Amino acid sequence: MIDNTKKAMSTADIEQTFLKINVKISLSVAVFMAIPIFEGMLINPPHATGVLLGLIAFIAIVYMLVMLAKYSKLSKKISRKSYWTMQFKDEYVDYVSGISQRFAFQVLLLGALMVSLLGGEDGSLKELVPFSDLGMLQFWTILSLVIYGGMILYKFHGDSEDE
Amino acid sequence: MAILKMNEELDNHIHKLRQAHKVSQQELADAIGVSRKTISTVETGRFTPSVVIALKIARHFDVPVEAVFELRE
Repeated sequence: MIDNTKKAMSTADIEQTFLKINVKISLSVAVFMAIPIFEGMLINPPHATGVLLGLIAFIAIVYMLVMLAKYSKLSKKISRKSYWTMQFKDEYVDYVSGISQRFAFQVLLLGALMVSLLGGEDGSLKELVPFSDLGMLQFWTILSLVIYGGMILYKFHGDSEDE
Repeated sequence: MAILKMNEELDNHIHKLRQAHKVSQQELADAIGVSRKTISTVETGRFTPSVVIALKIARHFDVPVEAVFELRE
């Protein structure tokens, strides 16, 4: 006989799922933002490449919307403090959230400092990279999103077998 | 059962205690109100828990906290 009783998720499980959805949103935003930059780097791309990149961007935005809906639904089950500060009751989830945010912040700060100090019309950044200042900011934002998501995935990977 | 050696300063005996009490990671996690991932990472030495969790684990197995965690000499 099939047991249809569904065990309610614990707070720790809800927080972990919430953080994982956050990763999926971050990575889909990163992909969506990276497409125009990547497309801009291509010289005379074939039509098929443009269609493929458009399709990837479309999939990323649809996936992001689906994840946002899940995020919104799950956010009702976590505390307001966790929702706004990304601090969690479960210690490991809180640790992973904190360390990922720190890494992402440092990367974003590095990029912002680079653009602030070397950017502008007369800045030396223009000679070093083929992007505008806006493009550079977008690049560092994408990088920080990928680092944020990647760090969380790395910290949650390799679960030891329960015995 | 060999003690897992991933944490440079701390050894733990959670796996041994779980086996002795026939408790799964999920059951232990549910009993002390944390995620299974927390138990898993503490057990493998990838994450050092707070004093509160250390005490809860010790209390669950009815042993002193030194029987669960010990400083590496």
